[in-house]
Amino acid sequence: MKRHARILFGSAAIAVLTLGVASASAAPLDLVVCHVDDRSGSAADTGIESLNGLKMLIDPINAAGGIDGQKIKLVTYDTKTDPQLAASFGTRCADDDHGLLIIGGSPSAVANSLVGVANQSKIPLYILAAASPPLTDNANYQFRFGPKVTQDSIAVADALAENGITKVAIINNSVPFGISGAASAKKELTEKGIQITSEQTYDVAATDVSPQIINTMQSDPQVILVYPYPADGARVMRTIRQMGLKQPVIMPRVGMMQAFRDLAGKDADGVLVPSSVDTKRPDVAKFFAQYSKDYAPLAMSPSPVQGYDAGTLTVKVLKDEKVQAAIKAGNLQGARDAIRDATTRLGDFTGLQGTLKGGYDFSKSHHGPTDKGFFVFVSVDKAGKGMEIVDPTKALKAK
Amino acid sequence: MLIKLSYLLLAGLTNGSVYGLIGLSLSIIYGSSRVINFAQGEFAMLGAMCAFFFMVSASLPWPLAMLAMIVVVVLAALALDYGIYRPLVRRRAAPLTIMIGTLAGAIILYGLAFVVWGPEQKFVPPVLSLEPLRIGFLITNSQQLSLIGLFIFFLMLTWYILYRTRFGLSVRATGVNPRTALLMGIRSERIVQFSFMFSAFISGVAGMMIGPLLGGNVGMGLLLTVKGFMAAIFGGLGSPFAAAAGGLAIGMMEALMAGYGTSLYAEPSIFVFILMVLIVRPYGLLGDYEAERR
Repeated sequence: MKRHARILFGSAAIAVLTLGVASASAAPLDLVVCHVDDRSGSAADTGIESLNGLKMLIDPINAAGGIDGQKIKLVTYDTKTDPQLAASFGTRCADDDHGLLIIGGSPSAVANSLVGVANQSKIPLYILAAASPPLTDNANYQFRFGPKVTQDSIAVADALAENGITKVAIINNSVPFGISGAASAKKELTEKGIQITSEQTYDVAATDVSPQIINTMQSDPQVILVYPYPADGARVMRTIRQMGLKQPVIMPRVGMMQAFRDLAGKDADGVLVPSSVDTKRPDVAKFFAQYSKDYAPLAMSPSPVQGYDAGTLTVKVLKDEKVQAAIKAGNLQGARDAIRDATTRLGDFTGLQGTLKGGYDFSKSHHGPTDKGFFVFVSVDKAGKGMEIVDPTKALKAK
Repeated sequence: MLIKLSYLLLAGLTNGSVYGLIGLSLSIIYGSSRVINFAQGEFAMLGAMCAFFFMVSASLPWPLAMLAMIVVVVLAALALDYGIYRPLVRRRAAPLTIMIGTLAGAIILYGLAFVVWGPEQKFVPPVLSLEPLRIGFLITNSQQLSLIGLFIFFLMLTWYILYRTRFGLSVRATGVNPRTALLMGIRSERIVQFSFMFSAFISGVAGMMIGPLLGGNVGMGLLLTVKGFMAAIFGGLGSPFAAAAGGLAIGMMEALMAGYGTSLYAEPSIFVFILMVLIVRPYGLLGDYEAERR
């Protein structure tokens, strides 16, 4: 009798425990979103700015009660430009924090590590500034908010073709950024029937780049396209000005960087840069005014708007009916899959990045910004201290 | 045609002077210790970053900033000597081990500089003007030209010290055989210490003058070490003058290749050429000549 009582008691205890575990796993999931990006190291600005932009969107929503009464819990990790650290933090977000979604990856190397985590842990990833094209090749869980480097080239080729430019010279440094930038520009320009009059490569350790500029000058281009790093970009511009070349110069990405403008000073003036931030849009101007108030003054950086836009889509997908159903059922993988599917359904939108003619196009086959209408052109002025949005038609006329 | 060739030669001379200066400094240490100092480029980096620090942050005029910079790089050289070279030599470490020690020194210097100045590019103010300077039909600037002048000055100074002073004789004797030199009353450790300090001085001044052109950043040392090492190997590692000539030759080849050939393949082509030369002359272009002179 005693033995039967023990068995009965034991079975009852196991049943209670099992029920307890079952009911615990059915508890609604927390709305955990991880920001995994560089906030120290060489690309620190991108991660700090993207996190600030993300908070500018999420903080007011949480202050107003969150989504369906649930606040978004933002977990942040600093990847310090270390791909291994990024992989480890991404895995922590997926496994330990039970994150629903990862936002981050401004440098391509960090983003690449996070792509590995996204595919292995089956967690959606919203990539920020990383420009490497293969990041979203055959993508399943990953989506990009920053344009690929090839999209800059498309914007440049479009602007040149529209303005009747037929002869372009390319100068680039010999590191992967310069070589891949020049290769993608060459492809797009050739497709538009624009002749490449000269292709010049230089070593980043060369103090004198006049051989490359002499060859460029002799090829008589209408426009010069430069793919440098900030320091050698300043050297190239100094030599171009020194040798009296008057052609417009286009310098994708690096032309907007503070380091380039500081080092080149007045030689940077007039450099044209395709930019994914159109500060002439009232909503964008308002955002930057608020950013300056909340954090620090900032000139046309894409990172805070990328963070804000990633936050906008996050809120949209978290409100989605199917995502909410999975969250309320406590089904973590179900919620992640639902977020991925909702991104492709809801991701065709105009955010703060891009122009009103082109924004984001997330579908099953396209996981990034639109190829057309995403860029405006800015010109550096005030001895490298200022930047202004310009009409490429006027700016591309040789002086 | 002539204008283009003149520009190419000037560019070759300018870039070659930079490589030659680093090659010269590398070879001075090698000549006295038979050790390749992988931290040589870091002395140039310290020169550029100290120029930024003393001229921008501390607002010192350039002559004072240069003096302060020299103190810093010489202290760094002493740290390398007392902290890495001497302890390893006294424990009879192989030259390869000492070279790895200098590589560790380079990484430590880089790390310290990273902590002080961070990863950003710094604007190193020019000592001379960056404004265009017309020499006949050529347009350049004074800062760039000064590199050629500096190269010639340090080449002559090194020649004078090594071949016109008794001290220089001791340096050369130590390089040939430190044990015999010691038996003849030459304190070889002091000679090596001098070579560390002197080569750091040359690289530091070179860094201060290169900084405004290359842009100052804590990662610039590695690139300069590689170029200086190429120059020293190509010219002939045992002789400072052969290394300097190697630097000039590389600079000229780069410029002519970029001007008349394809600049995209200039670097790999030059490496292939250097390799072919080394197969024929394993001690570098002028290596044998210097060996005989000794």
